[in-house]
Amino acid sequence: MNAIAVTQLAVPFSPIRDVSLRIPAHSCYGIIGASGSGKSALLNTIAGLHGTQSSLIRMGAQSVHAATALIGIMSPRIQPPTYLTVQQLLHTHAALYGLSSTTLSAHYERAVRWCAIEQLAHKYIRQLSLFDVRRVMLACALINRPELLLIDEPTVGLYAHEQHVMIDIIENLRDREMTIVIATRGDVPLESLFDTIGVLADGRIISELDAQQIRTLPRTIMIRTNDIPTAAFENIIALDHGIVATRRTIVLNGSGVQSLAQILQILLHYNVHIFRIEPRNHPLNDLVKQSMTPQILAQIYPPRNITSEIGDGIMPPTEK
Amino acid sequence: MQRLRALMAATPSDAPPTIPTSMWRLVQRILTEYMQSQRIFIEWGSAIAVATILIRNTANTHTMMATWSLYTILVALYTTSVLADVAEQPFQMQRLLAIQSRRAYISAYLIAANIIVISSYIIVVIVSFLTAPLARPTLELFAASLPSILVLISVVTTLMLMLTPLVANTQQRIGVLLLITIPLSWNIIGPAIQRFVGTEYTSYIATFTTIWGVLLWPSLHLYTITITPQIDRMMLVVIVFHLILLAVMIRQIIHWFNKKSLAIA
Repeated sequence: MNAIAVTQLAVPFSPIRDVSLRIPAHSCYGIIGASGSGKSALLNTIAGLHGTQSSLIRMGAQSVHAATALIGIMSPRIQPPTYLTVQQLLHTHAALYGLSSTTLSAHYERAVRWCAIEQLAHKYIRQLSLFDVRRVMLACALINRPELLLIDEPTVGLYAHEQHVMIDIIENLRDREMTIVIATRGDVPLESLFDTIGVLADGRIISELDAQQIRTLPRTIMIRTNDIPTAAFENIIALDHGIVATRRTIVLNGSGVQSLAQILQILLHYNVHIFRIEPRNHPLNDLVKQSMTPQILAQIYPPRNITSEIGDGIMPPTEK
Repeated sequence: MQRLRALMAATPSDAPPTIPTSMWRLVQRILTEYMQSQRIFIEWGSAIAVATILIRNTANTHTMMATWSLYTILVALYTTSVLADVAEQPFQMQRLLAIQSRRAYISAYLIAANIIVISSYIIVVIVSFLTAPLARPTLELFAASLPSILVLISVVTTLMLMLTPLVANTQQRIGVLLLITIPLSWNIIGPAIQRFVGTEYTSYIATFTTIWGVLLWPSLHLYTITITPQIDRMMLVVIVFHLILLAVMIRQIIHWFNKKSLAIA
């Protein structure tokens, strides 16, 4: 059963020209696209905030206009009133749904637990960090236990460790029997959240990836170490042709990613200290780049080459 | 029966909160937050200031009532513009989703604006009575002016809301402004047009002058009867005219607001 059905949607004064998509109930759908591709406009329209166009969107058997109380929306652009405490904000927002006091308390408790903001309850909004405000606004979107949760750029502007916590919170929401739609530019590794990804470009969904395709998106992993002994180096580059290494850096491309466990074993065997293991690319970002025209791509992402960054990667290091 | 069992089995936290809230709950929220944000002190403070500075030494009852009416019009313009600005903030869109009705949403803000302006009017009247010893309108005079002042407040707040970007786009706002300004400035525009087009169109210009005159008469008279109220047929006609005008404006506001894009941006 589809939670959301959009057919040939065009939104005036936005890049959306011909969007058709079906979002299954209780799934997590990712809308990815470059800046200005119309992700936020699409989310707003699904939320029923575009007057005429929103009536074309079906939520189950009814138009979204008739079901907005079942929708929660979170956007980095939403700034709550600063003169309220978190508890006041959530209580007053919940009261608008006509909840009884018992139900209201239950909804409040659950929303703050899901967003991990129990300790913020009595703080004023003006005292909160950006990350805290973002979680509070997510709790606000969740207060009515929505059937459809729309999240626009959940990690934008957050530090890396905050991004991870936000991803964990959303991951946890996936098990709560609600349909989640997330719009992102793909600059943060959110792909683990999605059941389906729709790539938005040129005013339409140009391609959709299912869970299997998302898992097999090409990845590049970089391992930073102290000096790698020559013997270890030779063992590592012999594993796969997708491995590029220098004295202190190993880059795993394509099929080379499958050899990560073996590389780690070799490094540990030779007592090499591993400083960092990190993704060198974001698969979603690569998808976004592929969706852009060459001219726009060159403006936003000047040409770079990974192997040129690490010098003559295939040359063995010299022993000191 | 199965449905009843299912309802009874549902825990409070699982119960779907799909009951659309009433407009009045939103009005209550708007007013509470208007006070919590301390914006209300601008209206109430100005009411006290007007009463103690401008009205205290007034010896003429009609001057006092004219000041009340003028002050109320200014406060209505200010309060409505502030509330329209608040209503357009992205955070309020979450509330719009919650109450599930654009008509209820915009009506709630209109009602809240009226309540705030009326409360300011009450304060300016009470403080005037307390601080102005020289002029004091009789209770009958005050009661007679009350219906017209309430209608005046409603008309001004509705008109102001109609002119805000929250409701109307630029073309619609220019259209409304032209409807107001052309009749008001017709005594300048009319002769200028006549000079431009020549004497052969005099009859057309005169027709427009009559139309604007008829349209403007009740509007200008409403302000007059808030100052010198007389309960008679003319007052009734003026008030009924404005109630009809009010209904038309509210209907137009709802119509425009229903079509408007309220995207969070």
